[in-house]
Amino acid sequence: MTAYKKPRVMWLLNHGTARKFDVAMLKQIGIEEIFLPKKYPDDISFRSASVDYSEDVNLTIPADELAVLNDANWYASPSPEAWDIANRHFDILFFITHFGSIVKNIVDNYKGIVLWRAFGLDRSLTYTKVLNYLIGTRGKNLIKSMGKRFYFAQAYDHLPHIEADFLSQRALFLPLGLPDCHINDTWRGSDPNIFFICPDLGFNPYYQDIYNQFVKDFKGLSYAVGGAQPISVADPNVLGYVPEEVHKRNMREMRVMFYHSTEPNHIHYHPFEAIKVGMPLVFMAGGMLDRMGGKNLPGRCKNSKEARYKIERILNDDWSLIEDIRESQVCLLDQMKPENCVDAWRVGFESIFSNLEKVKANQPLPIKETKRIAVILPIEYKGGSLRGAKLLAQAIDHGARQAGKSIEVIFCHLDDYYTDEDFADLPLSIKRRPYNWRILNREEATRAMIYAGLEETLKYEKYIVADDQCNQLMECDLFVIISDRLSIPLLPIKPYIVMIYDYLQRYEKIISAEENQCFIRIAHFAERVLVTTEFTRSDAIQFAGLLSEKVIKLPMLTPQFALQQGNAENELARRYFLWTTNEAIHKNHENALKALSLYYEKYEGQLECHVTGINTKNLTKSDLPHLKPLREIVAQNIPLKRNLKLLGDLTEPYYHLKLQSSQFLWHAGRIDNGTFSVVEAAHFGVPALSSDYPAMREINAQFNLNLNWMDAYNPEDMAIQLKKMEVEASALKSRVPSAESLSSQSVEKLSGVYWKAIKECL
Amino acid sequence: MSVKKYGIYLAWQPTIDLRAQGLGRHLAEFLKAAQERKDVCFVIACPSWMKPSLIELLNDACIQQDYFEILAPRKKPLLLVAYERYIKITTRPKKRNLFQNFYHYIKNLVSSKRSKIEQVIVATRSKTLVIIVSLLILFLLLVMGLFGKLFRFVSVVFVAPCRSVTQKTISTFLSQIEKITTNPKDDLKILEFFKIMRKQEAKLINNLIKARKDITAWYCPAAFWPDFNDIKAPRLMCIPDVVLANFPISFACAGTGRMLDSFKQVEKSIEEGEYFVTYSEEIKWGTLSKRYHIDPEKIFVVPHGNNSLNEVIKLSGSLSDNEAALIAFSHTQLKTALCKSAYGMNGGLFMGVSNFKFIFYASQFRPNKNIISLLKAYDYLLKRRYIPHRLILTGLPSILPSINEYIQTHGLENDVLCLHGLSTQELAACYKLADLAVNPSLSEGGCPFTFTEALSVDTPVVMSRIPVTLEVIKDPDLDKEMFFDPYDWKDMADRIEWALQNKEALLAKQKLFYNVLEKRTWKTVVDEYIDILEHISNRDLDKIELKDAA
Repeated sequence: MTAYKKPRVMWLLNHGTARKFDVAMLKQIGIEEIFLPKKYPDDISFRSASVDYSEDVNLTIPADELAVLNDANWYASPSPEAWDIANRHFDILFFITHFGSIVKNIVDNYKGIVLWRAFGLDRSLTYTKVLNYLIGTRGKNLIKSMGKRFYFAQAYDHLPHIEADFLSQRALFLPLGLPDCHINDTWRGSDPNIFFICPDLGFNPYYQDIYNQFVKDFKGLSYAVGGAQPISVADPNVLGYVPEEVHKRNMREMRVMFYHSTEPNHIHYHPFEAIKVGMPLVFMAGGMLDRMGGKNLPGRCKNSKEARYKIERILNDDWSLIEDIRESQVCLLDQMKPENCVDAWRVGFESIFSNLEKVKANQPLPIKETKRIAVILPIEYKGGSLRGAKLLAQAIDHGARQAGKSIEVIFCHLDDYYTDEDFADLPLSIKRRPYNWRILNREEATRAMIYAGLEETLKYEKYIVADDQCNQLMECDLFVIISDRLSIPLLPIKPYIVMIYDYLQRYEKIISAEENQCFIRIAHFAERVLVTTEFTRSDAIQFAGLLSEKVIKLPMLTPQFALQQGNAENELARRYFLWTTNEAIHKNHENALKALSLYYEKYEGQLECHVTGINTKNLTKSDLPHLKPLREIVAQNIPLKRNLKLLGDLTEPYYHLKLQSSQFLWHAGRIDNGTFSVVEAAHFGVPALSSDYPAMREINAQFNLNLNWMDAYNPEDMAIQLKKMEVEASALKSRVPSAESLSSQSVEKLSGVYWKAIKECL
Repeated sequence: MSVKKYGIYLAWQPTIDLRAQGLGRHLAEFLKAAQERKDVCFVIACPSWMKPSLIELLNDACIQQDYFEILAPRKKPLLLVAYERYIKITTRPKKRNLFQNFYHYIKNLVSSKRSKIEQVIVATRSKTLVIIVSLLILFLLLVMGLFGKLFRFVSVVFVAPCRSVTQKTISTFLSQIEKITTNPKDDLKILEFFKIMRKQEAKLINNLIKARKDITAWYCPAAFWPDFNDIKAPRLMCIPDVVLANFPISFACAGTGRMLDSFKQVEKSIEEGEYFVTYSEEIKWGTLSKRYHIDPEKIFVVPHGNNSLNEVIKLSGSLSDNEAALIAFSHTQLKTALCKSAYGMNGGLFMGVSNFKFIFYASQFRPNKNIISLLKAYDYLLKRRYIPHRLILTGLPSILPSINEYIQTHGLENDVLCLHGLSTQELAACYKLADLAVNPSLSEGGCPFTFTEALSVDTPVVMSRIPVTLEVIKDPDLDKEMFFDPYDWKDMADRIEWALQNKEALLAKQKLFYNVLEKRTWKTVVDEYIDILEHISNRDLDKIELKDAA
C-alpha cells in the first residue's frame, strides 16, 4: 500500500453485522482509528442497529472532542462543532441514506472523502431512486458537487449497472462479507420443520407478501418462522423474539432452511448462518446466491414446485439429498470470506489514498460568493405583516453581518402597489425588488427546471414564479416567503423557507378547503417553516402535517419606537382606551360590543372606547354577516353609542400619539398568532387587556408584558376586566416593562437566531 | 523550422452562413492573428456544405487560403443538393420555366382546392385516381426529401383500403406540404432532417480526422457539437457560457423544444469533454466547475482581446480635419443604419436626420441582456429627469415580446430605436456618435466588448457590475464611476445620468485604462490558445504557464 499517514475513518452506520465486517476490513488494510456513531434514530428500520464503543479506545483525538462526536446524531443534524471536529481529525466518512438530510449535511459540512455504503436494495429500487425520493433531483447535484471526493461504495460489484451515471461512474467495490466464515458443523436436524426467516410481518408489506407466498407454497408442511417481529403475529408458527439459546437450538435441530429471495441485488445474512452450522439450505434461483455458487447446486430450485419437492424429500429423511446439499453449499461462503474480500478493499483504498491529498488541497472557489436571500412578500400586505416582513429581512441581514457572513438580502414586493415611503425604514443594505407573479404552464416549467439542472417531474398544470423582469430572482440562493398564501404552486426551482403566522383556518371558516390545501402544499414543499409561536408550531405539525424538524419557532420581532411629540389629546379631558381591530371574523366584534354594553350600563364604565384599524370607520354599519348584529347592539345602548368612537385606519404617527395618551389597549380577538399591538403599547408604557389564548400567552412570556386577561367567549367577564383596567390603570402602567427591558427583544438582539435558522438552508 | 499542426472543428448544420455567426467572426479574427505564427498551421475540419462559406469567410478577412487546410467530405449529401436547388428555384425572382410553372400550378391548386381534393380523395372508389394523386405527391416528396413522410404515405395509400383513408390524414398531409413549401427553413421537420444530416456528416469528418495523425490537438470554438468528443486526439473545447442554465425561466418562456434540444447537446458536449477554455474565471468556476463539476485543472481561461472599432471607420489621406471628417462619415453610416429600424415608422421618420443625441447599447435581445431594466431606466430619465437623448439598441424587438410591449406601452417608439443587422461600419459609427455607451447585461461569458468597442472610438461607457467585468476592470475609481447594479434600474438611471453630465471626465479616466487593455491584441489571445493546445498535446499540466490575462 502507498505510504501515507494513516487516515482516520468515520463509519457512520449502526448495522451490527456489517460493522463487524467493515471494521475488520479497515483494520486489515491498516486503518486503526475508526469512529462509530453512538446514536441512531428510534426507527423500526434500525432494528438491526446497535452501538459499539469498542473502537473509542483506539482514537487518538482529545477526549472532549470524542465526547462531542459521540453525542451527535449523525443521521440528523450534527452540530457545527461536531462537523468541525470531523473535518479536523477524519479523512474518510462512510454513510447510508435513511434520511435525505444526511446528504445535504455532509455536502455542506464535510470536506474529506465521502463513501456512500451500498448493500443493495430490492429489485424495485435503486440508490438513484432512493436519493430522488428523499431529496428530489437536487440529490444528484449534491452528489455531483462532491466531485472526486465522493465514492459509491458498493458491497457487490454489479450494483452500479442499474444506477445513474453520477453514481455508477463513482463506484468503488468494497465487498461485504462475513467476519467469520468458519464452519462449525453442529447441525443435527432432529426437528422435521422448515426454518424460514421472515421478519417484520406485522407491518412490512414486502415481508408479508413473502410470508403469504411461503405459506401458500408449503401448505401442509410444518414450519417455523424466525426473524424479529416488533409487532406480534397471530400465526403460532411465527416464533418472534427467541433467546440466543433457543435460536441456536433452532439452527441445530431444524431440518432445513428455506431461503426465498430472488432479489438480484441484496442478500440476507441468515442463509450464510445456516451454511456455517451445516444446516441444509434450499433456496430459490435468480437471486444473489446464483452469483456466489453458480447454477448447479443441489439446494437451488428454479420454482416453488421444485422447492417443495426437495423440501418434502428432506423432511422425509432423504439423507442422500441432505448430505449432497450440505457438502456442496459450502462454496457459497467463498465470496464472503474476509481473506477473499480484503484485496478488493486494499485496491479500493489505494484509489482513495491517491485522491486524498488532492482532496485535502482542494481549493475553495476563487470567486468570492455572496449568497443572496430574497425575502418575498407574496401578496399586498400592509400594516403588521409588511412591518413583520421588513423586520425579518433586517434580522437576516443583521444576523449574517454579525456572524461575519457576506450576504445580500433582497426585499421583494409586488410592483405598483407600494410607495417609497412604505420602505423608508428599510436599511440601505437591503435592496428592494418589485415583481409580479407570472404563471408558467407545465411545458415551460419543465424546460425551466431542466435548464436549471433539476430534471424533476412536475405534477401540476401550472406553476408561479416571481418575475422581476430581470432573472426571476434566479440569482438568489434562497427564498424566504412571508406567509403561505399562494394558491398556485411555486416552481420548485430554488429552495425556499416559508414564514407562517397562523393556521387561523383551523379555528375559523375563513377560506375554502381547496385554498387550504394550496396553502398547506406551499408549506410541505418548503425547506423550513418558520413560526413565531408554539401555538402555530403545533398547528403546523398537527394540522398541516409537517415534520416537526421542519418547523422552527423563532421569537417575535418588534421594532423600536420613538415617543411622539404633541398634545393633540388631553388625557384628563378625554379619557379613553384603544380597541385595535379590523373586519375579520376572528376579531370577536359581537362579544366585544356586548361587553362594552355591560361595561357602560352595568359597570358604569367611565372611559371612552376608541376603535382603530383598517375598515373600522363604519364597523357598526357593515353588511358583513358577522358584523350585522353590531348595529342593533349599538342602537339599543345609548351610553355605548355615546362612548364608542370609530376612528378608522390611522397613520402610524397619529396612532402612536393616540396610543400613548390612552389608558390601556384592548385586544378582544378570539384567536390568531398573537397581536403585536400589545408589545407596541408596552413600548409607549401603555398596559393591555387581552383575550386569553395560547399565542398571546407566549407573547406575554417573551416580552414580560404583564398582560391582563379576559375570556373572549364571555362578555360578562370581558366587561368586568374592562372595569378593572379602568380602576387600576395607573397601577397597571407601572407594571409595564421598561423600554430597556423591551430592547432585550430588539431585532439586533434576536437576529442571531434568525440567521441560524436561515443559514441551514443556504 | 518545424511546423506543428492543430485542428479546428466546426460542424454547423446546412444553411448556416458562417459570416453571420458571432463565432464565425471570432474564428476569422482568430485565424487572421494565427497567420502571423509561422511555427503552427491550422487544419479546419468541417462539413462539406460549410466549405464554400468558410472560404468566403477567409477571403473576406484577407486570410491566405494556402496557409490553412480545410478537411471536409468531398461531396454534399444528394438530398441537400436537391434541397438547395429547391430553395434556389423558389427564391429566384426570375421568369418561371415550364417545370416551375407546373410546380406553382400544383402548389396553388393544392392551396385553393385543398378542401375539394380532400373530399374527392376520401370519397373516391377509383384506384386510378388514387394512384395518380399518389404519384404526384410522391414526386413532391422526393423533391423535398421527406422520406419519413413517404413511408407513412405509402402505407396509408397503398396498404390500407381506400375507404379507411380518413379525411383527417389527408388534410394533415396537405397542410404539411403547404407549410414546407412556404417556409422550409423554419419547418421543424426540415430542421430535424438537417440534424440527422449533420450527425451523419460528423461521422465522415471524424473518419477524416482519424486518418490525420499529424494533427496534434483539436480545438472546437463552440459546445454545440458533442461529436467533437469522438476525436481521439487531445481536445480543447471553448465554452463561452451556458446562459440557459443561469436564466432558466426566461429562456424556458422565450424558447421552444428546439432550444431545449440545443441545450442538451451543449450539456452532453461538456459532460463528455476533455479540456475546456472559457473567456472568464466566472464561467470556469461558476459554470463549468460548480454546475458541471469539471475538474478545474482541465479548464483554461483566455479573456477576450481588444475589439477596436476604430480601424473600420478611421479615415486616412490629406484631410484637413480628420476628426470632423470621421464624424461626417459616421453620420452617413448612421443614416443608413436608421433605415434598419425595426419600427418602420420611426426609421422612416429619422432617415436623413442623424444629428440627435443618443445612448447606445449594441447587443442582440436575449433574456440575460436585461433590456427591460434599461428601458425602465431610460423611461425614467426621459420623463422624470428630462434628458433629451434617444436610446439606440441593435436587437430585434419581436425576439422578446416583452421588450416590444414595454416600448409600445410606454410610448417609446420614437425614442427607442431598434436598429437590427448593422454592418461593422454602422456599428462603429453608432458607437462614435453616441454620447454614452451602456451595457446593462446581467451575465456574459467574458467582459463585454462594449467597453473596448466604445472606448476605441472615444465614447465613454457605463456597465453592469457583474463578475466577468470586475475580473478585467479592477480599478476602484472606475468601479465607482462606471458600474451600476443591473438589478436596480434606478441605480442604472442614476449612473447614466451622472455619466452624461460628466462624460469628458469619465472618458479621460477610461481611456487611461483602455490604453493598457488595448495592448491585449488578438495575437496575444491566439498565442495563449496555441500555448494551451501545445500543452494539452503534451498532456503535462505542470509545464504550462499561461500569460497573465490582465
